[in-house]
Amino acid sequence: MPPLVIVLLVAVYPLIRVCLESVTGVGTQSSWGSVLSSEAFGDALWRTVAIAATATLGCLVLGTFLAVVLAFVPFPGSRLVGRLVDTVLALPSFLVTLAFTFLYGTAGAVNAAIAGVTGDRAPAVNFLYTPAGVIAAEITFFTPFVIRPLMASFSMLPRAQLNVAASLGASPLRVLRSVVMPEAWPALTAGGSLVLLLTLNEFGIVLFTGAKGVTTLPVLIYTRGIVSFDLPGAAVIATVQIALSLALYGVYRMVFARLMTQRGRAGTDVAVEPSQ
Amino acid sequence: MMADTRATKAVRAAGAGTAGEPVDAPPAIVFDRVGVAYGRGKKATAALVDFNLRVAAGETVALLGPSGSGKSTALNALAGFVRPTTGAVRLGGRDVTDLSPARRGIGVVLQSYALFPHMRVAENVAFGLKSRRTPRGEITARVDEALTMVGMAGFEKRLPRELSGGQQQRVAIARALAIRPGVLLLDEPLAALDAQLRQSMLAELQRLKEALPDTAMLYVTHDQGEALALADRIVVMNQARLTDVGTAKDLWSRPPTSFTAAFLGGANLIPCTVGRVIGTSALVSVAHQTVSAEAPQPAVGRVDWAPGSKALLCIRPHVIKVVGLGDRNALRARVNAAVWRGASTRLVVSVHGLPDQLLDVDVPGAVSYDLGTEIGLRFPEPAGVLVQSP
Repeated sequence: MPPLVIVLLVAVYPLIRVCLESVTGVGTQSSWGSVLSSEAFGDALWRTVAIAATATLGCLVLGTFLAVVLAFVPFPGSRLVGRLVDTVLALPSFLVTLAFTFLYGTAGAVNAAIAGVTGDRAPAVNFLYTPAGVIAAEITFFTPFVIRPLMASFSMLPRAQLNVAASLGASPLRVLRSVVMPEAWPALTAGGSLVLLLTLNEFGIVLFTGAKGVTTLPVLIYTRGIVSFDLPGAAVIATVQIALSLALYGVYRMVFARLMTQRGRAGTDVAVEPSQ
Repeated sequence: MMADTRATKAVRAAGAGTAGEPVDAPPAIVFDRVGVAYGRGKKATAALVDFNLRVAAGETVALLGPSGSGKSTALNALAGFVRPTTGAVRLGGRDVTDLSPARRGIGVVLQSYALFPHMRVAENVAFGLKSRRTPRGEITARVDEALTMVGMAGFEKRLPRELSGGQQQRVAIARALAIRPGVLLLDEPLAALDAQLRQSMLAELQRLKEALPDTAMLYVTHDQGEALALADRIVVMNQARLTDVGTAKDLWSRPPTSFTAAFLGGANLIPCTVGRVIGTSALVSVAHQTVSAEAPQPAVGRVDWAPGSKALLCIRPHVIKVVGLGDRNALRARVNAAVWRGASTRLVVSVHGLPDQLLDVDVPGAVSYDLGTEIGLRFPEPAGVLVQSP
């Protein structure tokens, strides 16, 4: 019982307070109707969903490619690459943006190198402070969240299935398409759901990029609550954000549960060593 | 080393072809001094050493041996799942050593079934045909044909998880047969089934073998019963090497090596001294008695059963008779264990005059003995077959 009380007090109560604040805020010029109908909210919601969806799609494509290479294409240093993927998971997201600034910023290494070759001082690469920059940074940071569940799924795939498929005349591409990916579908969906959830709530990368005109829901909450002191307005947007997150989390749990059930059914003679 | 030489020679002798096959037709399967090693340098482990074998079209050969003997490695090398480190693999005269599994045209059936769980039975069976771009109209007919052959017609729409183990294995066989392979590899296909189902599937495989007279089958098993029931020839393997090869009857009745004698049927191997030898008969001294024994010669080469030399007398447990202690020429023995095995009772006895040697004796029916009971044993005439000491 005490643990439940602690969880309710520490985690649930603040969220409830945010939701309550959105309807009972005192001295506010905001209300649910005015906030939800405002152009700023509409733009932020659209921008948030667009960036999250694009970044998730990018993560799925890049993550699937990398997971397949790491799992099925032996090359020297593949274990090291696997470890590096894990390392990215341990870093804060804004570090990626900082690294991007050093690399692709107007005064970054890439532009300096291009300027050195062409002599033109105007930055040739100038996407970092646009939605594309945010998406690129999010893809870089969140792709491991797709790779890991996929690798786990591949590790549960019996090697015998791949061998038999090959002996029946299937090309590697057909084996991947017809045997491997259908089995990895729950892992891909779980990874994608998680990335969508995280990119939807991502604050550090967007703020650190400082991209002009890129205002997402978390940034709008920050602006309303901290910069404009419109706490009830921020609470309204935060409540929408909570609802979106909880809905997505529900989908993620459902998919993850299915993945776990599959894992329980899997055999022992597996295609990829789990340690990889 | 001797086992290798003997085996290689025997394989050469057997490789000329089987009944009905033109003499100049290339064997369906050839292993030519195939070796497989895992790891490199000092950490390399030999999984298969200098393996030679020829299998004719329509012939069924069982690779029999304990775990780690190299039998599955040989099968994997043939299927293309592992690359031989030495030697060559040929199918129908074509060198396929460097060919991918997809281009070998071999049907493979594994112990774990390896059905694709997200595909229905018909889709599983059609997989190979689709991979080979078989015309769509033909695929349906071939799937029906393969499923009918294994008695699984009517199960087309089921998912693998909706089938029993035996049914899944039938589908796996149908999937392998649908591509009409010239060579069918079966790696412990019955090992995951319970005893009753195994017997029924064994009968199915025997029927299948008759229905596929042109298909060469390589059957990997550690179960001698399956090998004896199915194989035209048996290859006995041990420690990554081919130990013996021959027909089931030959290996059973005249095992060339002590390993084969013990592994195939669990024969008693009693140290003895060779006395007089006349042709393929010999008198040997065992437990202070003189008994007659077969002294066989291999098809190729010669074994010198010199008088006074040490050998092993191979006697099957079921041919030893339990007699009264007063019986003439009875060997005196003491019962150390008696285990009822249904149709017979297995006695483990120690024999006077044979220190450090326990014999297995099978007595028909359920027989009970008190431990330590003294009994008489009588060997048949001839007592058994001589096998060279390892």
